[in-house]
Amino acid sequence: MKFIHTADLHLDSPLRGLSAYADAPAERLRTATRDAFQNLVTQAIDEAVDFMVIAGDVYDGDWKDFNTGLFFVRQMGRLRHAGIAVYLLYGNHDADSEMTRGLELPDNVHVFSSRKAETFRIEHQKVALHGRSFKVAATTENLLPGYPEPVAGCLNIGVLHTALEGNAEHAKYAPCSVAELQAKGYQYWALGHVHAHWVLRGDEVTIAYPGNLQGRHIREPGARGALLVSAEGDRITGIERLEVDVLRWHALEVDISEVSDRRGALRAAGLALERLLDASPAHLPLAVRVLFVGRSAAHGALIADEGQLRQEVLAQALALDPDRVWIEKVRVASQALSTQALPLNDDAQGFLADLAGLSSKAKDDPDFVLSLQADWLALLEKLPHEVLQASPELQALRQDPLAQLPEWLGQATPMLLGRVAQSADAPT
Amino acid sequence: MRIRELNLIRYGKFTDRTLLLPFKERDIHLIVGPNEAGKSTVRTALGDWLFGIPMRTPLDFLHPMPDLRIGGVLERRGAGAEPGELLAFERAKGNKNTLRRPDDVPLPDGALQPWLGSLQAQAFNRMYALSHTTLVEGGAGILSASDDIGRMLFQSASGVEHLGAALSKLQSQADGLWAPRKSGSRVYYQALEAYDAAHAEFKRATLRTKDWKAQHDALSATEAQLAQAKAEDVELRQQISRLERIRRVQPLLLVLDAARARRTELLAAGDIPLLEADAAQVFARAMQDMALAQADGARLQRELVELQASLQETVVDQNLLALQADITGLNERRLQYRAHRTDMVKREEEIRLQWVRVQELARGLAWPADSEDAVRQRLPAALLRTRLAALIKGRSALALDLKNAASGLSDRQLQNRQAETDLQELAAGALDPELALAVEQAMNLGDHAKLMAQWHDEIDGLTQEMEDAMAALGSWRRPLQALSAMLVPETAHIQSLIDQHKADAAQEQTYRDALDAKTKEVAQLQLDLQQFVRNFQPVSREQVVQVRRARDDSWQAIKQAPQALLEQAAGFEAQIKQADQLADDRLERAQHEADRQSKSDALERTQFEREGIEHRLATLKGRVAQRSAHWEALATAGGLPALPLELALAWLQSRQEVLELERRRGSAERRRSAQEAAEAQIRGSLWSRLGRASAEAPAPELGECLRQARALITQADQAQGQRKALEQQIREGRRSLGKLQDALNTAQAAWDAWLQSWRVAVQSVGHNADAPVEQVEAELELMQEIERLLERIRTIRSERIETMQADLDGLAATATSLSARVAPDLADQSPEDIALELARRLDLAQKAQAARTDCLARLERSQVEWAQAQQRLDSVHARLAPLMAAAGAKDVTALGPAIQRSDERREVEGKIRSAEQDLSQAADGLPLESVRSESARIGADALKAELDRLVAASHAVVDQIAALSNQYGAQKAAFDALNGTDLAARADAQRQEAIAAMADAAERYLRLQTAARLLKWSIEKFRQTKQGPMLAKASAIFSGLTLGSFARLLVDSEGDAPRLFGIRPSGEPVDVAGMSEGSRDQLYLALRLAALELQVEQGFNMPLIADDLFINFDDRRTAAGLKVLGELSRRMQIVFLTHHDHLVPLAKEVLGADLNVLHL
Repeated sequence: MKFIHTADLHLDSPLRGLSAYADAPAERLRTATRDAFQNLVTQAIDEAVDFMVIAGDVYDGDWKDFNTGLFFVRQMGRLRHAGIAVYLLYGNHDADSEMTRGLELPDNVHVFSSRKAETFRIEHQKVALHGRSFKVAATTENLLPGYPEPVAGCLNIGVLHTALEGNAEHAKYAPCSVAELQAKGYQYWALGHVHAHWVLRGDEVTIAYPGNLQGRHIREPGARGALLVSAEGDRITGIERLEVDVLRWHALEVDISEVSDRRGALRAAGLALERLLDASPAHLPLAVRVLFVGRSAAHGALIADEGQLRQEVLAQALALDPDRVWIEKVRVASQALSTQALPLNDDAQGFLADLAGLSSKAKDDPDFVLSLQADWLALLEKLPHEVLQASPELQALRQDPLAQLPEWLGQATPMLLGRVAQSADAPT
Repeated sequence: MRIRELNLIRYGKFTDRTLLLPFKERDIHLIVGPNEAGKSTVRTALGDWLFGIPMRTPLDFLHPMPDLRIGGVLERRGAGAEPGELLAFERAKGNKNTLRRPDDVPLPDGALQPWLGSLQAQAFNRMYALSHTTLVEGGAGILSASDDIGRMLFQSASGVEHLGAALSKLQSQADGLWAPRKSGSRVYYQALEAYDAAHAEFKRATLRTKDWKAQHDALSATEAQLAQAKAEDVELRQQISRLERIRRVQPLLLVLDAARARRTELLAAGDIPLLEADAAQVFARAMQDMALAQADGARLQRELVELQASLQETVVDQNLLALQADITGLNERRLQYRAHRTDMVKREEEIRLQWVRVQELARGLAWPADSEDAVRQRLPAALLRTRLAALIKGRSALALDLKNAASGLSDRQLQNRQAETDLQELAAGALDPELALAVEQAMNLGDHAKLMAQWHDEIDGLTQEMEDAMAALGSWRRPLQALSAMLVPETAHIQSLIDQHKADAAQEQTYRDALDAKTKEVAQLQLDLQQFVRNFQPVSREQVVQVRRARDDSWQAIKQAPQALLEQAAGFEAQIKQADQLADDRLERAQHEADRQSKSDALERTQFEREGIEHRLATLKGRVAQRSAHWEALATAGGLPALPLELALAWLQSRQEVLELERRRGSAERRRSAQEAAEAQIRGSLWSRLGRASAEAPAPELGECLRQARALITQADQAQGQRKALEQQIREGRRSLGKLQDALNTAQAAWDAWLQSWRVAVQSVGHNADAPVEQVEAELELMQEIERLLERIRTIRSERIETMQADLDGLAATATSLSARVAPDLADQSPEDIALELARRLDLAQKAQAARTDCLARLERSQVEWAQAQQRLDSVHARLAPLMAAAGAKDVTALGPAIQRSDERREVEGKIRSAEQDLSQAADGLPLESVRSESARIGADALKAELDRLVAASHAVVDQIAALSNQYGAQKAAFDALNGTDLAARADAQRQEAIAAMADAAERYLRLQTAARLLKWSIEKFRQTKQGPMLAKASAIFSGLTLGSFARLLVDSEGDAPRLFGIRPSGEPVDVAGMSEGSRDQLYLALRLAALELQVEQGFNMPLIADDLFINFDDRRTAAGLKVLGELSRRMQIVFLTHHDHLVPLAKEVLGADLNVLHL
């Protein structure tokens, strides 16, 4: 007997942080979450699993388009056609969604009640599934005590949407601990809510988060998918990961310690991208954040004009495979060598040293600080809320410009030095 | 290098004058002398000594050019205790070997190279031999960065020259990302546009749950209604079908029953054999064929009898038929000759008439006319008659030629005599050549009156234009002489002043606008601040401190006087509470306080900016006033009225126009006077040549004189022409007389020859030689007619009459022959009658023959047809034989009724089958009996009413179904369109992409803007702290020279070209144009000295010759200048020339004992 355990589909939740540019594979990746789920359903049918467990968060809570629900119903229909039952538990996002209440699901879909824990039994396979859906999003109490006792002689599967103890990244909904789960007497805990893949195998009980089906931003990097669980009698015999994502996020560090100029750094980025592509499945596009790291003489040239740098990295990516690489951001996190090591004449060295010294004093000049703050606010006050939300840096700057001043000036100084060094170096 | 002494051996006004310039710690020498004492000569002499006396020099006024000579000693001091180096040499005037030792031994030209390096005379004069003029020129050159020193000045520390470009690039890149003004070219706004579009698409594509549910419910309801209506429709259709069946079968049942009764009736009399269905048709056709065959047989029998009788009656004449061709030919000839006899009579009569005419003509010629032959013999030979006719024909032409030649000759002789008479009568006359010349001159003068009018108009016009132009000078109008005498400045200079003026005006307006904007901004900020304070009442730190201080003071008071604790406790507690309250409020309203502080800061900053603008405005006004004063001075010096500068160019243009118009008017008047003088002279000349000049009769207008002279000339010209024509005519007449006489002689000879020939011919026909030509001509014509008539008579007789007679004779012979063979009874008749009768008889014989042939053919055909009719009768009997056997009929007559009975039986049985079949089809598969019983239950009337009712109800239901179906279709299509589309998801993805792009653009903009702001700030600081070495030195010197009025110099590199500013101690920048003349001189001196110092530092040391540089310095700044020079003289030699005696004590005071003073 085998079943699929999935959670956190977040259907139609958009990819974030990717700005489209010419030749980026934008068009075909705008439905990534749907495509991933469709892949999963296809695999379920191909594998002829006995049933599928969905441990919450089918949709984003604030997502209003009912078409998403219709899409979900259609996928459920495919499973029904293949004779595969689905055990669906609503999580915090689903509880918020008005679609949850309006949708008519096919009869192969069994939804766990939100009033109290409910058990579905599959008699011929001796399986008992226990679960309780969220009634409201803000379900902060531990639901576990309400779960029934295990059914003797059956494979007991607990389905729970929970922020397991110690997981700081996710909201603390329906919290409980591993020990509590282990003590419940079920053989398998099909959890949802945490987007990272995590499995705790034990002799008696297995606890698993499949992770979300599709990474949606740079903080959800790597492979994403569901779990194919095999069991014999009341024993879990195997857990296999099904990677169904259609786009994979990757933060690519490019070490430029060994290169001395901008061209070398770009070459290094190109090589790193190429290696990354080689190491990734050929069918999968990648959303890549390129981070230049290391201490290098090329740092100044890179930091001097990040706009141009982004264009050049894009060019590298396009040259490699425009259909497979979507550059999310290019960040220069490298460090400069000391200015004395720069290939400049003495006067230029002296000047750069002076400039660096002057820049460090700028923050103490109230006139300068005022004018800079006015420059910032002129833009920041006009930015839509969503833009501020999308950029923590902009949000922080908007909330407290003065607090951000040292950091921003600290970033601006090397950029300036890089630019001035370039222009001073240009004629020689 | 320094100059130890200078010997003016023979140079300018000097002879053997030595100036000693001994070295001291401060190597400065003051040479004092009044004007004309030779200070400038000393300065020039130094240059000439070092670099050579130029080819042309004004300093040879005392000593001749070749004798000029300058000497001296150069010195280079050793470092520390090291010995120095000297070079004594003299400079002579010449092309070569001008460099000599004091003992006059020539030195090589390169001897000074180690001392002067590559320095040339021009550079020395520009850099080291300074007068006030060269100082100012050099300073301006430095400021325009047109030379090395200028470039040195504007070169700050290395790398700073790139800052401007780097800043511009940063700002440009930032601007390309975002700026407050929306623009499609900026990255942020492009993304914003995409965001808005995606958002709109997202809203459009989003399907709300309630909308879906509403559509779903509506669809279900319609579906249910549709199902119900369809069920109702089925029910109705079943009822209608049953009633329709009853209505169909009722008449069919009636038909069936009637047919069955008739069959029973037919068979009651016994069995009726059934013949073939087409038996009646077969029988009828056979009977018809039989009747036709019998009728044909009877008719053919009658025809045979008639034909045989006719054949026996027909007789044919075979003899005639045998001569058929001859008889026919005879008759045709008869018809052909039918008119011969009458024609022959007519021809005889014609011959008679011709003969009568011949007889008449013969009698006219007096010839005998007895017979035709007699007349014919009297006719002369044809040749003779032809000869006579030709002579008669030529006679008229010859006579006419003779007459014409004679008359032509006499006419010409008459004309000649007339021309000679005319020529003699024509008066002789001659033209005065002087008159013609005078007329030509008058013609060359043109239309004098018109020209005078034109000149008059032009001068009037120019006068008017000038008056207008003078008016255009406005209130600054001056007399012409004064205008002409004005000294006008160059237009370019005025234009330059105006341009500057305009630029300043525009700048002033900009400042004023900016000032207004700032003032409004300040007012707005003040209002904001007041409102903010009023609305939020933020608690300031000072308030908290103040309250706390009061509280602490109370506590101190309590501590010092514990006994008063109880009395002060309440107040102290209140103060504690108030302080805490205020502190809490401040904490709560911290954001408000921060906002208030921010607004307050903004207000302060704006006020500061406004003050800056006010200051710049004031500076600008100063500059404008200064330029206005300059213009006024310029205008006064040139004798110009006190014009505003803006109007100067236009006014000067008007003035130039006035002067130009005056020049044109003068020119026009001069040309008019010249024309008048020429006219008077020519008129007098004409009048006197016409011979009419007298004291009493003055010459009339030039036109009248000219008219009279022309008339006279025309008259003379005409007479001359006539004379020439007559002379020509006489010459030609004389030449033609000879020709005319020759022609007359020729004509006469021809006439004589004709006369001779005529006489011979006449005589040959029997006339005498003098017979009149007309008579001979008439007789010839009569003879010609007689000959023609005789020929005509002969032709009629032989060709017509004799031919016809022969034809008639042949016809008679043939007729007689034929009648003898076939019709002897016609022998006594005429040939025409015989031919006619034979033709008639032949026709009868031919017709009898044709009738017999036709009769035989018809007889044969009728016999064949009669046999065929008999065969057809036999065939009919054979066809009827089987039918008769089947019907049991013994003869043909019994066969008809049998066939009729058979057909009736067949019809009845067919009706029964048909009715049964129709019923089977109409009964919808029900058995006949159940249909019969169903039909019996309802009457026809009731059936119709019920059926109508049901059909109406069915129509209503069908309409309802159609409407519901439409509704359902529309709802279904709309609902099916809600198919889980990903449009909203895609739109949201695009929106997220736009958000990412906006965030990226915003981040990049903020980084670039931060960097740009930082760089700008750094540049300003850098300028304040880091300057180029030359600027640094010039700054220090300038500050010293201006006694601290300027703190420093600053180069602004931001514009197209770097600019120099003097910075006041307050920080106010003053550009060079805005400085006073003294300050500007001091700036130029500072720049020059700084450059020299740099050169000294680089090891190149030359003496500086300064000629009265302090003319615009006041005493304090002069002292400062001397001090600066004194400091500089520690590193280089300075020779200062001045004509100011009062400078000596000041210089001694400033420079002390080191100063070496020389008097010229």
